[in-house]
Amino acid sequence: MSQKQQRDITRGIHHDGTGGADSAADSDAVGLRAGPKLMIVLLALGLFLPAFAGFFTNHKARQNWEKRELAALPNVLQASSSKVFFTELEAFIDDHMGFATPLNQAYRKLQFYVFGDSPVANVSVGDEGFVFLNSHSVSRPHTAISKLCLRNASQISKTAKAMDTFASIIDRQGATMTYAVVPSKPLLYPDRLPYTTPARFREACLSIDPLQSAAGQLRERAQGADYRVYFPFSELAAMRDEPAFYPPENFHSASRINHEFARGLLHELDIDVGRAYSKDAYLGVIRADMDLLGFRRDADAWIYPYADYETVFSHREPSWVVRHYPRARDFGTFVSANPASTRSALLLSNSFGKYVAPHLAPGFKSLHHINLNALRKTEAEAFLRQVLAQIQPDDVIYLVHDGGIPSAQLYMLTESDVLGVAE
Amino acid sequence: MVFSTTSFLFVFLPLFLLCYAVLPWRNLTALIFSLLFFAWGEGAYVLLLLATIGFNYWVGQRLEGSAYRSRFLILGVTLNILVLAYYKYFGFLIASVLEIPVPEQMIPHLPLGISFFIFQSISYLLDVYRRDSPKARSYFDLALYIAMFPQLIAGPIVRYSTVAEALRHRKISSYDVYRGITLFVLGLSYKVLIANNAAEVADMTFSLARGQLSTANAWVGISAYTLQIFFDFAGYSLMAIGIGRIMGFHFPKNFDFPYQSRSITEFWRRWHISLSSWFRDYLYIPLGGNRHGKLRTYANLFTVFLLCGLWHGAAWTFVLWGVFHGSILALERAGLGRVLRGLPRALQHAYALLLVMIGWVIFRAETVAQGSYYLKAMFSSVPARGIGFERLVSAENLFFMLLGCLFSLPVLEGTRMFRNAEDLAAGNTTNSVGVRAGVGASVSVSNTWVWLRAVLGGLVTIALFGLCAVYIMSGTYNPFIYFRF
Repeated sequence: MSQKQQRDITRGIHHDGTGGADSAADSDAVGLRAGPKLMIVLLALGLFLPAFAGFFTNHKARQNWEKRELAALPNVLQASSSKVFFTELEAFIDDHMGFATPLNQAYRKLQFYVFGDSPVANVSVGDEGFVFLNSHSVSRPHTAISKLCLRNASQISKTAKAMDTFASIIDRQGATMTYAVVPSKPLLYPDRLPYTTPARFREACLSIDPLQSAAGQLRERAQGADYRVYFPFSELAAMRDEPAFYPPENFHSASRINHEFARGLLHELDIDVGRAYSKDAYLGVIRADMDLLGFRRDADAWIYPYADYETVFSHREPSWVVRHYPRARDFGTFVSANPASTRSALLLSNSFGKYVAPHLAPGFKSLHHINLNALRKTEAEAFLRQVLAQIQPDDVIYLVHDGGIPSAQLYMLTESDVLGVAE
Repeated sequence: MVFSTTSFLFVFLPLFLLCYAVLPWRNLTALIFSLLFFAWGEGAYVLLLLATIGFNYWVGQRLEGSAYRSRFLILGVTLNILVLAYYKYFGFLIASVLEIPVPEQMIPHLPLGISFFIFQSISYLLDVYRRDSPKARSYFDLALYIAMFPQLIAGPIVRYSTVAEALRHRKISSYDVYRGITLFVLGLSYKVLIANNAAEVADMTFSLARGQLSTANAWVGISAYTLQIFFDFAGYSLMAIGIGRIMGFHFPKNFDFPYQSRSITEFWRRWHISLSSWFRDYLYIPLGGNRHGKLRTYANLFTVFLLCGLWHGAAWTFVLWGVFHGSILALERAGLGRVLRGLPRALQHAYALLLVMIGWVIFRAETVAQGSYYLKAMFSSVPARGIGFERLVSAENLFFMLLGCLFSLPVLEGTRMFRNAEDLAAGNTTNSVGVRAGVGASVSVSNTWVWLRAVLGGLVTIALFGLCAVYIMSGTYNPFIYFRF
């Protein structure tokens, strides 16, 4: 027996871990052999793995993905109380944990693919995987659907008045004004609405005559006006069940519906695109636009090359748009070497314009597309003045989907004083 | 800090386990981490915790051999109750009972787990006084017993005698670690997968305005809450027991499948066992129990459950809930129980479950008025108005709630790994893995099936933990309903 062992026995410490100890802190009061110790250490290391991975994770990517600022590491000296400090520390840990994004995506895929539930609050998942984008309002999450299917006469007349005003602005510039409204899913596929949509909204969408919807009414009112309202609901509804017509995975219209919509619009504008318009179309795969599901999905879609028109797209052109409207996105210029007409067009739109513009471009020598969603009231006047002065289009097309009526951006443009300047 | 958060699971717990395993002073490590755990949520109130521990230690030292031990006991218990009363019931007493308007700043903050650690302190003093337990050998022993983080904020309420010896002398075997991990993961799954999903449905239903609450919705909502409260609380208890097991402590089981009870009497033998036994040993029996005639027995039951209800929260709904259960217990004792035993088993189960669910309506309601109209909706025929089942209950919610219905029954008790019941201590069975020589020791061919079962169980545990991690990381709805205790 060694001297150390003799001393330990005197102190009541036995090396088989069974001896009582005088001090509660004494390690030998707790018998922990190599085997269980190793198990505990491995358990600890395994649990620590996500936190460790957090040191090597690109948190900026998470910030961009989740579109929010991540919590910062709190300063212990500046914390107003320890409770505040620990609360902020927890938020920081939550936001900087490794594997968070892939696990988050895994969870949303689990919700979506295994349970058939929508992984985000403002997206509904209907029959056969149809996704419907709702509003962000917590108290009224279905306004995106209800405003389509429940008539609101005051909004229709207010929109009609704005359309008249804007059309007259454009008319004074010597351009043709066309309002184009893309039918979206709640009107085209009301039978696919999920049961989580309140019954009265579902019934309203199923029973409404789309021609009595806001877009239909506005089309009716535009009869005899100096502008046209293009809303080809019946024609598109007749094709809605054809394969890959309007991908269920998409919120925005894509695939064949945009092709047919654009063809019809160009025909309305007396532009004959010819047979080359559908040439070499093939069924391919696109990335679905509902990234806000938390994960990316692919969708089957018709791809139209429009090769014969030799269209070139320049993103973020013309550059002066940025000067007057710095948050503009989805804007660009399509120039066709072999267009169906020699006219130039200006396409002002909401987010649906990005998906329709490539199908309109073959009809024009040049097509300038600008997404107005981020336009502010204070920018509207200067922006519109520049647009009309710089582009001088033959045709102005204001494009939204049926859910984009009323359009706040249209109101902004009509409230500007461009009329006075133009005169 | 809640167990089912990233901060606890992936930072605090691994750091603690690493220090506990590697550093030589395990009790001190456990105490420091426990105080840090408390301070994390309560900041400076950790001083209150330390002060109550110090006071109870001082009193405890005088309960053995002192001539005035009964007076010290009265002092100790009274002061503990006063501390609890001040922090928990002052606002209720002033604002709700006496209806004196008082500014918000004057109502004291309710420290986390105060109901639990005060009750543990009282049980310590009473056990020492009755000589059922030795007094703590040091302040640190008592501090570790009271403040130990696994059971600090939500129990189980552990008696000092259960851990007195283990504080000074405990062995941790591989089986303890293995079992601790499985219990912890099982508890985490209960909480994150079942309780949280049920909570979404329950919270949505209980937030419906009067005109939106149909009979069907009311039953869906209370069914969800019945699952939520059990799996939330039982899950937390299992996590506490699991961590305690890894540390070398054997905490008692706290739930024994209460929803398979056939009477309310039986329910209270299965639900929150540590609390009901506390009230039995320290209140019901000292009041006389059932030794002084029928009327006195009923009065004692009524009193105990009135206070039990009050323990759960400072609100009239909790008082009513306690009165509700106390009344039924008295009725069962008075003869209803005998009648019940004559009924078919299925009816007995239905009776017990129905009364428990009615009790949960009262317990869950924010106000007495809400409880009243909710019960009215359950038992009258109110048609649905726009809130369909699909909006209330998603497929995910429904899946986990159905699992909850299944696991509220003892379906796992046949498995060695996932049973909730007290498992055989390591060494009592020759087939337990890792009993003698630790994990990895060579085993005979006849133990192959044991090893296979262990490996399969391990894989299931890892898969469950992975699924829980997915849910936790996604930042899903994660309330802990007993947090306010």
